[in-house]
Amino acid sequence: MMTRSDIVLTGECLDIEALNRRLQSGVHSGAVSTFTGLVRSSDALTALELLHHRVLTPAALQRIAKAAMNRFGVADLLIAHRYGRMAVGEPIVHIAGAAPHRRAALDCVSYAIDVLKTQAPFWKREWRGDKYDWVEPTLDDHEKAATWMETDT
Amino acid sequence: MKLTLEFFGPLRDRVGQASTVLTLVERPQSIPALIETLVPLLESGEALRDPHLRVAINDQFCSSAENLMLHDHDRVAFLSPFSGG
Repeated sequence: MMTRSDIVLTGECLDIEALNRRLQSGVHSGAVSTFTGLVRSSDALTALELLHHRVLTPAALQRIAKAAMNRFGVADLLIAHRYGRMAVGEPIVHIAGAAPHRRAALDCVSYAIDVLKTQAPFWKREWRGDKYDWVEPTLDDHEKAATWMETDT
Repeated sequence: MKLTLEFFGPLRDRVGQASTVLTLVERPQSIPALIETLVPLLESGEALRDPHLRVAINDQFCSSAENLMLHDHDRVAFLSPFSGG
């Protein structure tokens, strides 16, 4: 079975349908799972801004995708992440995995988003008018990533 | 030894700049030693003592435990905890 990962890091709005078409599920895949994270409205938020590192961020996404594929035996995994300013309702991240069975497809996507949140170099700012607040990772973010990483193979 | 320092995430606001170039007389042999060398040289330099920061040299992550081999014109990035997705 051929396997591959596909990383998209872009300042353009994510086109979810176009991204899903990039997934090469193939005849050996019995399940496809996807996750999309969106900018949530809160307290007069006018925009969410994601900043990244030109070299370390794509390298981290590749590393996470490779780890997820090895761990769960998925055939194809796509991780697409936005940077720049986004309006409420716009997608921030989209992950899609194709695997022979449903549990592997579901788990690889859960793994990728949980680990990505604290292991890929992104930083968030919430804009309200011309002022911003940094969004720090939560204890829950760290615990979810640690749960997967403690048992990493 | 001339180093380019880069600051990412909330740390950028804490030290008041995105990047700067400094010349060091000493050649620190570890990340903790480098941080202690830089603290008095930067405005709000004590922000570098945050134990949750990650450090990368020339786009390669480094751990506090490893021996540093810094060279002239290296780029040292200090990165606040990540918050993606």
